[in-house]
Amino acid sequence: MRNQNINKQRHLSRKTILILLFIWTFVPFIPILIWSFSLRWNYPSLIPEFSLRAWKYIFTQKEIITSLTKSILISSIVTVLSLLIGLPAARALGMYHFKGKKLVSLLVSLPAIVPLLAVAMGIQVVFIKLGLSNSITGVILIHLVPVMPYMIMNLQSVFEGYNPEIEQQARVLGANALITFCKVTIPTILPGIIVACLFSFVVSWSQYLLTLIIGGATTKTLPLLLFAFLNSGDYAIGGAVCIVFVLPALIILFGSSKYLAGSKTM
Amino acid sequence: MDEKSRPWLMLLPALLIIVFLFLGGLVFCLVQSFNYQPIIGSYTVNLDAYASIFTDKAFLLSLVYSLYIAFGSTLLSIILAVVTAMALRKTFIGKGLAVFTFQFPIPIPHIVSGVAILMLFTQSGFISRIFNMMQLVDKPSDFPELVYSNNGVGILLALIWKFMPFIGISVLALLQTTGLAYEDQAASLGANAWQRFRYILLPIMKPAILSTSILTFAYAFGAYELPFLLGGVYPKTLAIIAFEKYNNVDLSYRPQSMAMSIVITIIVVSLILLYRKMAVKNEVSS
Amino acid sequence: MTKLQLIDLTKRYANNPEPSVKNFNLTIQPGELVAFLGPSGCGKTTVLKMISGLLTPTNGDVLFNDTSVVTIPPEKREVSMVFQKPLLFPHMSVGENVGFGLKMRKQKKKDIEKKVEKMLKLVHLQGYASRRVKELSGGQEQRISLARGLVIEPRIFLLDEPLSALDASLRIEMRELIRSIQRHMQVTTICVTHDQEEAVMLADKIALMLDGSLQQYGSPEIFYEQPKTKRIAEFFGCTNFVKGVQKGKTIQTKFGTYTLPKLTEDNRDAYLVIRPEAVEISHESNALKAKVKSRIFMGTHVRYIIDVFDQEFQITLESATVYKEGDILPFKLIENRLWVVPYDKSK
Repeated sequence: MRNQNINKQRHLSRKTILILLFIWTFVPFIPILIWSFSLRWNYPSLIPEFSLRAWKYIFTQKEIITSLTKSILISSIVTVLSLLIGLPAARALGMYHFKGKKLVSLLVSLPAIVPLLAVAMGIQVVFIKLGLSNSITGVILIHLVPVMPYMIMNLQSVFEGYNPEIEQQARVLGANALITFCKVTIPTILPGIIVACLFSFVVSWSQYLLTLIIGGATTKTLPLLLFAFLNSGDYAIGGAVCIVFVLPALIILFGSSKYLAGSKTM
Repeated sequence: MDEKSRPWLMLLPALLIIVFLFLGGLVFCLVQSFNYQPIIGSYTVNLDAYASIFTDKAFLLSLVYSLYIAFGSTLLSIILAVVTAMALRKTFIGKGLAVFTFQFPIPIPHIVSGVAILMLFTQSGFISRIFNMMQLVDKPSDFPELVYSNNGVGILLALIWKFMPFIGISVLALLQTTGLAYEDQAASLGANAWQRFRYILLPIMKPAILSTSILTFAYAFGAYELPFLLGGVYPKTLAIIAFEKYNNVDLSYRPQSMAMSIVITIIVVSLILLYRKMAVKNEVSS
Repeated sequence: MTKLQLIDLTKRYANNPEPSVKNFNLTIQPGELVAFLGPSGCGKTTVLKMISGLLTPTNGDVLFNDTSVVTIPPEKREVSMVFQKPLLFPHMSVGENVGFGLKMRKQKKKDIEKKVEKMLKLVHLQGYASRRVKELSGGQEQRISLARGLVIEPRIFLLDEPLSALDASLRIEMRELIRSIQRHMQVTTICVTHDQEEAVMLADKIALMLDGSLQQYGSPEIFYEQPKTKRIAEFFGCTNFVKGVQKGKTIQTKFGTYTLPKLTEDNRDAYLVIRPEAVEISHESNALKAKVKSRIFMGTHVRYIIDVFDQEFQITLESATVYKEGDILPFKLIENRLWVVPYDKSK
């Protein structure tokens, strides 16, 4: 009987932890949702005065649409650039052994770990001189700093698990370098590339301070807009903007869950 | 292209970005922290900025506060991550949903976590209203100050929401593979549940915990967005006061803001180097 | 020394209507070394895990010395298990690994050190206590695993295919080691294997499992001389079966009529089991005639594939015999090496 009692105890405590986990993870989204559908939501009511004002605002106001467009544009360009620069770099780190590799690895990972406040504040003088300050180009450049290393580290694990012999196999069967690349290499590493791109996109998408410093008030990406609404106390529009803001992340979660299931952790 | 230089050529574009933007930015920050500001015509080089910040009570307090936020969030996240991963490691009905829930916060931007905590835990927030309904509080001021307060609890909660799954998923991966096999072996040798946890599972989890918590500590220490959104008037984290000084209309404060940022950077980099040294030592001895 | 009884042991998993282990009944005497033999997936490891407590049976009981242990958790059962992979704890030294079970039992440090050193000597690795696990070869790791499992003097000692990851020469060495230590310590031991040669060399008794149930239990000789079913005979390397009719202790086939005194009396359709070694050359007038289809030299003997009455048979003869393909081979069956198994229409 003792063995069964211990098992029952374990099952109960696990159930409790799971319920708490579920609540802890998903309840935070409830007030955000509710706020986005409210006109006024005063203390102490749990239900607001319902209104679609915030959502109407989102879909019609120019500043929201501009902000959304800017965010999408910047993050997409940053992701593509990071991919182009990062792919060969990741392949080098994942599949080659060379002197100084450890140092390079460390150097590549630093910008993703170290707080970039100093970098942004430091480089701003140069950007001002080069006319990059307060411009989308400048923001794209500064976003590359945290995103590119992140992309490289993600892609590196893809290449570490990649066996180059399948390329040699293709060559031996008559495929030239271009065909091998397109029909063998790319399809094999494609799932890993997609995951890396999705996560890199979110890193750029979420940037606040860097965009603020380099872009100034003129490049209002979605995070900056969000902060503005929250600071002004308009939680309704803030909530709605927040929901729009979280959409790419949700798309990643549901879209790549089949990849995440088997892949390594971040 | 000979074999030796091939990887270097592949790395070149990435290295250029890192050297010019990242290292370049740091260097320019360092230089400006030495009071070298051509913009206002100051061509001197000295350590005045550093001297002034290290004698500034507000800076020192912010330093301690930032350490408190970083340690607190990381430590609590580790504990919660381990407890949850331990609960999820075996097979059970609904495990798929449980793991999905567990890793849900990972791709969600930190800001969203902040907004959620803001709407939940302010004195007139959602939780306070639930407490009011349960007759635990009468008015907003009866609810404890968790957001906009000097205890930083709101900031900690927002960070923990993000950090726990990040650490936990890494730990869970280890527990599910290596951990399970060793657990059976240890049980057959006579180790009870606590002994298995202490002597077998904990050492196995250590590398995963260490590598992820360095990252969370670094992020929390230099964080701006969440402390700005959820923090009180006093004390402020290092990143916030550094940025405030940077934005000061009086440009003579610039060097101090640069110096503060350099201090943040040096502390985090030292931590990373320390961790790498420890990791290497562990590998050699074990 | 512990007597082990398994009564009606059954294990059913939630997603599978078929049980992995069905009504397993077995009694093992104290100090015996029994091999659980069977193909992969037949349930041998499941039974082992139920004995150790790592799995709970759906039905049935496990008794040590006539006392049920089914409600006792694995860490309290004093049944140690060695797995296919040595699973040495990587963050501990060799000595710490071997002494782990003793440490969990809160024994004194000095006592642990002494016992560990004694055990290491038994597995021919004395002085290795301070070494790191990383420095060991595969064979050494498995020996340490053995030492670790035995130093706690378990009531039952379980080994789950401990040798399958080692190369052939190491395997033979390790078999000897397991046998000698087991005899020395007189601990009731079960060794799971899918290698029939290994089971025969290692064990006092063999328990043959197929599809989750126990097919036959007995000394190794029994499986060659008196297999219970056609399937068991096939598992032990016999492919020669002739259909016939059993009457009492006699079987009538087109090869002839044979009387086997050890047979259980019965009247039924049956197979005559002819082991490859149960054949000898005969130049007598009533000898059977076979056509040789192929001849394979195996070193110590020769294997012939022959054709008799339109059926193919595999036989082994001395290497001196030289029948070539197409030759006529005259032979007769060695009556005291024959056996009879029931005829099963479904096969």
